[in-house]
Amino acid sequence: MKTALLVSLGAFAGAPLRYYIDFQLRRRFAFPAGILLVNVLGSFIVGYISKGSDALLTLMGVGFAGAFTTWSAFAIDLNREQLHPRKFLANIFATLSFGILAAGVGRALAG
Amino acid sequence: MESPPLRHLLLVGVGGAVGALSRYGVDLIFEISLATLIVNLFGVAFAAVCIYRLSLTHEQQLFLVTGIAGGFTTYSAFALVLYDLTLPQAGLYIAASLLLSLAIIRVIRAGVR
Repeated sequence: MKTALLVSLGAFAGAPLRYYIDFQLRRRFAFPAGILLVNVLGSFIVGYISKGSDALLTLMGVGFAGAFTTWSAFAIDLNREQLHPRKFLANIFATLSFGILAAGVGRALAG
Repeated sequence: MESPPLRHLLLVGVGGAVGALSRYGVDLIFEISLATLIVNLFGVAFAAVCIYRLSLTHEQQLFLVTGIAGGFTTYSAFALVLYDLTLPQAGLYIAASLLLSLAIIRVIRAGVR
């Protein structure tokens, strides 16, 4: 029960924050920069807290970063970019390289 | 700077909490790498149906797609689980996540035409 509350609380903050960032950046760039940003930031966060307490992992990892980052918006954007190969490949490359690197850097900094 | 209305942020927040709780339920059943692949593929299918097969209002899309599908699927767990896999496993995991997601969206969209 307590874990469910922590997951909900984290997601209740993370998902609207993702929406807010995407809302601001999508109008300014011809590239889904907001989704890229949240996915990289969220990946750093889960890496950084990966050795923390169970409560922290549940609230900030499963709840906040889990809902702050997203796979569905990334995939839907990729599908829409298929007619623009450079944008399509740039999104895959940036999301994978920066996102995976961010999780690793976070993990390394966590000690 | 223009901002989304509070009502929209709340819709996304409640949807995100529902999505994240559902993902947590899947995490309890399967090992984390498999659970994350399952939620991501299922969430992509759910989002694609909402976007391409249903005529939803903007607010319904915010709740179902941005909130529920966005909170259910996750990139952070995807990125972190890669570090527990061998290099070939990680390559396969990335390829499967990407290719299956794009194939699912393509099939769901094709139904409209």
